[in-house]
Amino acid sequence: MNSVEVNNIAKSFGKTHAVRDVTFEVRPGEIFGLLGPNGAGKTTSIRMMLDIFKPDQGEISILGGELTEEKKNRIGYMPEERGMYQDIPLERCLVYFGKLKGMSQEQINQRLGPWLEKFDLAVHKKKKVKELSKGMQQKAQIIATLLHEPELIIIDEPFTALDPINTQMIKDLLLAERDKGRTILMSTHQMHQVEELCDRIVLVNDGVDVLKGSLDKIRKQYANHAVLVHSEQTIPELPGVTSQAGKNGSVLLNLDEQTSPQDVLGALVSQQIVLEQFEIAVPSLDEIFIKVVEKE
Amino acid sequence: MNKFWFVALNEYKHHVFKKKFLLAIFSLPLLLSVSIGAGYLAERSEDNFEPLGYVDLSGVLANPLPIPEEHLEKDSVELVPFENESQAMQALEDGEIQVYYLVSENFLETKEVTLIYYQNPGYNAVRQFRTLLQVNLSAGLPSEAVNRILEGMEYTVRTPDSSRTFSEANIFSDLVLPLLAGLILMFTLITSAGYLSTAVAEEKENRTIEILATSMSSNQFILGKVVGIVLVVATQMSSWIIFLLGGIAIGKTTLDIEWLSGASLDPGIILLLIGILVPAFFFYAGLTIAISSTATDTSEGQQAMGLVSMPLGFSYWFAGLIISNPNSPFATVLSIFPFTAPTLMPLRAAFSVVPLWQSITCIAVLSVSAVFSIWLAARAYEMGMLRYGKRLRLTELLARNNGKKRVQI
Repeated sequence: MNSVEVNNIAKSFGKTHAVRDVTFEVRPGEIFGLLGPNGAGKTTSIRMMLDIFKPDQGEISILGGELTEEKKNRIGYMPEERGMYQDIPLERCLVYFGKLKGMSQEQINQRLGPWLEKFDLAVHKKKKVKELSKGMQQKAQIIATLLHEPELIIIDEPFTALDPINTQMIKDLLLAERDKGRTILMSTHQMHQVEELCDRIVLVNDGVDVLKGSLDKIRKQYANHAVLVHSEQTIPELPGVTSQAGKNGSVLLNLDEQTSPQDVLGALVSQQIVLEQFEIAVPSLDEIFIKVVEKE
Repeated sequence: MNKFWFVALNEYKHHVFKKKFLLAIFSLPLLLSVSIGAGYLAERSEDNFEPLGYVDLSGVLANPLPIPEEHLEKDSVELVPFENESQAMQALEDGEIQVYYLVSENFLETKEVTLIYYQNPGYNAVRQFRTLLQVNLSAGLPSEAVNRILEGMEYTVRTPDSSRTFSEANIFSDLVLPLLAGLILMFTLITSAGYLSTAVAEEKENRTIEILATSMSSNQFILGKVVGIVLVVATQMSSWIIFLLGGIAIGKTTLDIEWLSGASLDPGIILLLIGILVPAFFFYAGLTIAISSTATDTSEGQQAMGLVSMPLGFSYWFAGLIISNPNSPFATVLSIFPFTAPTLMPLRAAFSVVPLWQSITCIAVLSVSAVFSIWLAARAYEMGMLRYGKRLRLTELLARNNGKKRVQI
């Protein structure tokens, strides 16, 4: 049984078609990326999944059927619009959210302390939420999402307002949650942020899913026959290399069909080029997205 | 525990555990204490407990009969007889007495009594001396007649069907208490509206609506908010009522304030007030939630609520007109109109006998309005909950939607 099944959903607001036709499924225990540019229909799709909006058409199944009041306790949702009560102490705010997710006071007492410690928020628990920095509030929001140990975690734009250290911490946390068997649906327009996290993805553009499947397969499907090299020396013209292009300080060498990466490596070594980097070029999700949209 | 209780408790704590709530709790009793205290002090300042002298040249008070205990002042003044005026004058000059009366020789014919004073006498002393004269002038009459004379004049206004009476002695019960009850009703509704107007708008401002919507149903949320506010207002009102009753009890017993004696409220009026309060509360609660759900922020919600709750004060703006003719068509229509009924009907009930059909119609209209406003509130919440900084128009709110949520982002 899939954790989430979304079939041909559509939603319009007046004359605006926010979602036209989106279909995907999220399997238990995976990190699934719902990706696309701003305004693609990701948040509207999530809101339909969570019954905040009713879809105009299509079907949605969450944890094996319709979303019930009982199932709401098994879902952790961090909306794009981060929400905390600004005027009350952090601890009281988190206790309240925990109770709304069906937790007992005892469970909250057991779990909240370690979470606050983990995020360096224990010393700030008596402070009003508005007295915390944006980064701290973001971390508190993540605690509110995970405190009740949900089976299904839905996070909309998880890395907004986070510095690189906290971004990495959240990535590690999501991987750890997946390792515990939790299912994670992550929505973001920052595709480069989730490349190393997602098992499978769906790319949404203008309300339509344009690409979906295993991230590895998609990458292979859209991979160029190319290698990426970096050297202090100038890369000479090599047999079998059809073109060269600069990429982030390195050089992308596009190969013809008869030439393998090993052939290029051999040629470079034989010409005594000192290499600092040599790798098979893998397209980024951004590049794949642009390709797909251009093809559409 | 049902989730709406967590919402209710959170709402309760959010409002009650704040300094401004404690200030609100103590503001009314403070005002009441100051009013009662000032009234008491004003009354006491007109009393003087120093001895009062008299010189009786008529012989009426030669062997004075004592004032019956039930007509004796609580803190009575010593009445000192003097043989002649020079002795009385000497005592006055020595400060042994506050004033003295000279009862003329032909008092029985002329009823002439002269007051000799440097400073005005205390009202209590004057009343006591007058009672002494009345007792001794009516000597020999049956005790019932003496009592009637001492009680003085009293008139009671009675409605033709005798269902309501207004007497000077019971002015507090007959008029002041119903008016006060109406005012408390108005304050209850305005206070609730104040809390409720921020209840949903605050969730929008804090961006917590989505978390709540994915944790519980809309009904649980709305019910939790309303119950929380009911508890807050009940705490505030019950504190005020306790202070009020305490104030009345102290005024009646300890301070012996005359106009508070016999203070009680007609059970019919209590019933009418409860009958109005319950639907009126839900009517205004529904309207408030509907408005705050459509507003872009708390201040806008509060401004809109100010306009809606303005009619509650309407009856007091036109109090003179309504009191002079409480059963006029103007007063009758406004006492049934749901926006003005909660305060206008108690005002009418204080000054007239409201026909039963009008009371029932008033409560029925308020009840139907309450159901409509709660429906409107649930609809506005669902439609407006995710509109951040964007107003929900009334036409959208009332448009048909075929059972689908019509929310725009």
